[in-house]
Amino acid sequence: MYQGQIRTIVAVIILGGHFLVFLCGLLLGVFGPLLGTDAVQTVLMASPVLGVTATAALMFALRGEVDIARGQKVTGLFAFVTIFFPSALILCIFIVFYAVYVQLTGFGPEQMKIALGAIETFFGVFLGAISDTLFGRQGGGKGGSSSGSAVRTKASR
Amino acid sequence: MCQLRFRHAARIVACVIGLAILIDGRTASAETLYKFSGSALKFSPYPDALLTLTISDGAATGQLRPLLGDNTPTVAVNGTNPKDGILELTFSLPSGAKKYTFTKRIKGQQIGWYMETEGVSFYRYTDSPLSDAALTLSEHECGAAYKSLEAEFKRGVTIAGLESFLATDRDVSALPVAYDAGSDARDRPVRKTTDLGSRLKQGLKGKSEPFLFHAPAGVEPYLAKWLRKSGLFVKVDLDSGGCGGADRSYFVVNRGLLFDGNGFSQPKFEQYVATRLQEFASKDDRGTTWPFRLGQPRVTRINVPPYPSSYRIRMYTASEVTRRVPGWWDAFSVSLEPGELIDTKNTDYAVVVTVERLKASKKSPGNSNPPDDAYFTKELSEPDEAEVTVAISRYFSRRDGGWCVFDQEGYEREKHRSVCDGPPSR
Repeated sequence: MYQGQIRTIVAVIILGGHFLVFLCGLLLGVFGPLLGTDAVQTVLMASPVLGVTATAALMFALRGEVDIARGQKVTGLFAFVTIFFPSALILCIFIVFYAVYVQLTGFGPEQMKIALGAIETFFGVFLGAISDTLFGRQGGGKGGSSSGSAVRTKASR
Repeated sequence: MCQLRFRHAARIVACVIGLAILIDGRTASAETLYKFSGSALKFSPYPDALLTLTISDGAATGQLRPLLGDNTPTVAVNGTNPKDGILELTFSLPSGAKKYTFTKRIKGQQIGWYMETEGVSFYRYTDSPLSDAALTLSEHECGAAYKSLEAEFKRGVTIAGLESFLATDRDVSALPVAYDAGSDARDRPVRKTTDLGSRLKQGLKGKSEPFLFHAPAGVEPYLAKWLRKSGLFVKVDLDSGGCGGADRSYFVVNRGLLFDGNGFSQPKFEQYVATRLQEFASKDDRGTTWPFRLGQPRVTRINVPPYPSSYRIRMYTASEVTRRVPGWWDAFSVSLEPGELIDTKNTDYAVVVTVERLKASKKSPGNSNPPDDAYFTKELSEPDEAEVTVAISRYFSRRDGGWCVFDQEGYEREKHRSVCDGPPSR
């Protein structure tokens, strides 16, 4: 798998995941068991880490208006880590949402907020590093990239 | 042989005629007891009293007596019955005689005599004697209040005097009572619990001001009589300013449902309530069935005559059942306290329904059953609690051919969705 493919996959996961988390959080408030304030708090609590990463992914997508450079081939571990952590974050958030949706015994809106806070804290470090490596402006090494190296138009090649 | 038969038949006829004359004579001159209401008379510290009347040959004689436990001297009552439906009575009060003309009105099984302009009246039931509660407690503007008692000490009563009185009955002195101590941020009363003796001592510190305490339903008549007989109080009565109480709801059903041969049966009461609560929670007014959950019931027996029971349980039901509002689950604690109230007859028994800690949770398509307590985050107001109280009272009363009462004072009628049927005599 190449750098460009990884970046595209992770950007799609994060952008799509962020959109779905936002939408489902609101739906939990409209149709689910959450009251209005709880739903807004849920969306706000589930957003920070994903939001920051999604912003970087969005900037990456916007910069690749014409083409995204294929880049060098990455290791399997790199591919696994960069895809696993964003996916795991989104999956964990959806598990929490589902637990609230089915009104799991002992897991109410208050417990949900605590769980979301814990998830955000746990994944924050990993997502920050992944975001910086894949979509950051500075950085180097195998995974590190600048906007110049990450996205190149056909003309510049 | 034929003569013997004739004699036997003649004896029977004579007996029947004699008995009829005796019964008729007794009816015509028998003393009848009425519940009297008229603070304008200033007969006693209480607005209500008891009136005995004998109406015979166009004349009426009787006595105005104090409520049970009160030692106000009786007053002679004389008057005439000039025509059917009119009574002219003179009350020979120490402050001077007062004369009133009463007009008869019959509502169901209740015969009442009224003088509207002075706010004086008296009534009795044709099918039942007055209950002990009716003979002991006053009826106030908002109907038959219960659980909330108002007391006022006489001047000069000391703590030592009160303590020596409390020592005469340790069980009653230790009765758990509650009182309101201010209000919380949502303007709801903060209720504290203590024993009766401690509450009375607190009340004594307020000198000659009336103070309130909430006793278990059913013991009010006994408490009022016990305290009045002490001679330490100006008055002990139901709370006179208790309009608008959200919990003022009760239903009345036939005694047979709660009594066995030996009187009130606690096992029968428990079984009755458990069965009916399940029926109530399972179906709304439109016949739609809903899931529900009931907590573990707690049944307690009050150690004060007439030793009433209290059935308390946590319920989780659909709001369509309790408040006629779609889309929510309701969680609340309900207490059912049986007792004889002012307007219950000797064939009836009342059950006071109190709903507390009402919270709601939005229904989720992902769960068809009432959720865990953690989801009940929305606290509801007193009118909502009143709504649930009335829904329960109404269900029980309609289910078993009884009636129920709820004081709507203070609540917007348009917001009030459940209505009690009220007693047949009203």
